[in-house]
Amino acid sequence: MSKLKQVLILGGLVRFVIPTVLPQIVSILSSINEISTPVNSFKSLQEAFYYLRHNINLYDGGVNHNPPLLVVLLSLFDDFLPQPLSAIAFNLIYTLIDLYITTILLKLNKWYNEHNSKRLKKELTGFNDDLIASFYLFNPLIILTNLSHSTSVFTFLFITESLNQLLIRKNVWRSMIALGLATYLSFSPVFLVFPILALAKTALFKKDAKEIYFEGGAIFISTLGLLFLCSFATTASFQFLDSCYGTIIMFNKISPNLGLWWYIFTEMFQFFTPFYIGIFNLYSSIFILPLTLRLYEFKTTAPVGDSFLAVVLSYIWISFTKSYPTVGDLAFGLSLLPIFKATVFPYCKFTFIYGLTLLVCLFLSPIFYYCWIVLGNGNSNFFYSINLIWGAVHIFIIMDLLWGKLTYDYIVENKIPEGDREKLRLTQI
Amino acid sequence: MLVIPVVIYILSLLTAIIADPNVVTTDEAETIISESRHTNNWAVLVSTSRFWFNYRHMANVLSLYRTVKRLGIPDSQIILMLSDDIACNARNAFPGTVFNNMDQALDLYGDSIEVDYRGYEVTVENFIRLLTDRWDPDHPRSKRLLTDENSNIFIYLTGHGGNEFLKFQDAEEIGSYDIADAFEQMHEKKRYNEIFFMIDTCQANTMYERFYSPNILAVGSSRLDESSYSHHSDMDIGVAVIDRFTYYTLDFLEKVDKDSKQTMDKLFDVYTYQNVHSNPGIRTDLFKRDVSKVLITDFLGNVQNVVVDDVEKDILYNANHDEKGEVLAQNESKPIVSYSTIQISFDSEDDSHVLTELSPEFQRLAGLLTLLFVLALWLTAKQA
Repeated sequence: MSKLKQVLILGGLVRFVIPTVLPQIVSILSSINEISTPVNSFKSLQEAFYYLRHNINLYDGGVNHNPPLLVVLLSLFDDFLPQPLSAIAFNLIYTLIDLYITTILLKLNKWYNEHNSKRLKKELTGFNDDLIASFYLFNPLIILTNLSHSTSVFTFLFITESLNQLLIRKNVWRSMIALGLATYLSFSPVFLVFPILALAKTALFKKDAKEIYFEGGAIFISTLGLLFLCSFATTASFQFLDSCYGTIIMFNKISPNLGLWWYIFTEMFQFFTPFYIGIFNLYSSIFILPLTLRLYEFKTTAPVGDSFLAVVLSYIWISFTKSYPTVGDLAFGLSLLPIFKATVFPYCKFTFIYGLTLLVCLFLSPIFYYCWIVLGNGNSNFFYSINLIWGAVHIFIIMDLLWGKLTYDYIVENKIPEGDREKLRLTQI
Repeated sequence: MLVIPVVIYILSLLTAIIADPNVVTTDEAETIISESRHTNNWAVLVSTSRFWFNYRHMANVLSLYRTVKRLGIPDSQIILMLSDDIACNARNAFPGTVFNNMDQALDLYGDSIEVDYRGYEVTVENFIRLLTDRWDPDHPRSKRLLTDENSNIFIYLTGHGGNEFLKFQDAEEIGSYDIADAFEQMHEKKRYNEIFFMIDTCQANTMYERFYSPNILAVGSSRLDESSYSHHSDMDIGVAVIDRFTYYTLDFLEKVDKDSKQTMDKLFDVYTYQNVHSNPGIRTDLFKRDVSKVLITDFLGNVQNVVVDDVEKDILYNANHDEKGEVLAQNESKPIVSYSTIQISFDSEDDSHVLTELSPEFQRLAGLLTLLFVLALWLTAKQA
């Protein structure tokens, strides 16, 4: 059996067997606020199932921030299967989602290497398939997110499917439908529209700009519109908009998580709250377009730029500025990074440093949370300091990858020969 | 002819009483409530002496404070007036404590006592003002006697006294006529239901001789020309720690707890010459109830008489049915009523913005239809 199959089976077994054998691990992990936030926790989903079963308006309680279609469709598994089977069904669903995402990642890896080999006119081989698969399947943060049955896994699925449809199947429309679904499930993928459309333009040479941008944008908006209307039909009210998206945008539920927002809103005077909401939302959106434009693969110049990197870096930026981030968000971004092994990573300078910073964060965050909440001998500042460092890890990754990419672009553009590349000292590109 | 309805009436009363203990007839309820018409209890505990050697007066008052709190009167309804700081007196060998017994078993000072008037705030003027509630508008509520016509008040005074006077702060005195007039003002202003007045000083009985308002039960520790004595001294503290009268009062009250049915006459039986070494007096002529039927907790505790009514307890039933038992319409929202420039609107609790009620089956069906729509969209979005 090939190594890839072994990796896939092992990854699938881990995700299926552990929650089946230890059902309480799901609820333990759902309560850890680095792994699941009120917006994407499995517990709120189960609460929503209960509301649905008892004919209570899903958004009355203020607990449920999942969109109505997700709740309604998943409740079919919950209600029509007797109790132990429904938990196993959910385990199966999450396992299959992760395995599917892995297979797409393998295809993306292959596409990337082929695409850049063609562009740069040299043979690029990235990591092997089984390594790419294990970077995703055995990433402990991804495993934790999956075991906690957080609903952000569905968002990962649809983002990945969007990239799959775009790059492998060369279908912009379906890619936009998938992105619309991802946005419907959680608000933040909406910012990925620009990088993905830019990637569409660079990856699919045959299409012209109008077709891709306008049609793609129109399909995205109409998918969202269709989904909102169907949600309205399902719940007979537009309350879900405030619960699902209003919570994320206006940060209605101020609970401690791994993000940067909550501390500002607990410690700041209320007079400044609207200002900070505006600033944070502006921050989320403002860097996407510059990243996309800087890394765009313009045809007129030498083969510089990397729109796929723009997508990944935009995703990591979104994870940085999200109102309710989890470890899964960064982990998903991290599992996309090995795809760039051949092009960007040789020029990344301090991977070791932010790798260690990431580990330190992961150790200290639960400890400081425990000190603050349970023991009472720490305070929120300890925990928030680790959140700041968590954000710093995102920024390190973006910085390092950007600098590596720009260094590589310089090399390609100025055709620096092999021998001189290590001696290169660039200060301003 | 009249016998039959009377018999039926008596039988129905009997069956009501015997059958279901929860069902109370109106007459029963009235008798229960009329036994003692008070609904709340207050206590005014005053010590009037200064200086270290009057340790026992402070201990008297604090012991009764403790008893009264133990039997349920909350701090918000106790006015504690301590004229001097004994616990933190420089001569106190056990600083921060006040004991009422040689065995030092109980620290009366503790860490949860609330003194309302302390030191030089304990004056005759403040005492009279307290009783009659004639204060400046900015006098704090916690230092006022906020009683009404359903309040039973327990008033305890201790210190040095004499023939129709009680010495305050070694500088002034209050007379028996002053207290009597203050009580009459309280009666006129309907500030008490019943007063239990206890005074432990020398020649204490003279202090209550001048009362003329109704519903006052008064107890004093000694007669005219008699002194009241202290009980014992603590050799380590160096002074007497409790007075005899209060000692025997406490001795009796320590056996009383919140649900006790002990009556006042049992308390008065404790006041013998052998115990207190003086002739305590009890004045009951102004008090219309029989002392043997008055509970201790009527004055020293905070026990309310509760009559349990037979009401539907299920909240969900009450929320969904009206008084006649008919089902209420869901999501009732009442209209806006406009009274000239003021608009009053009563919004129902659950204004859920939902257009119609949808059953879960319909919602699931709608979800599946959406899934089909999206799948159809997906399948038709085939690009060449």
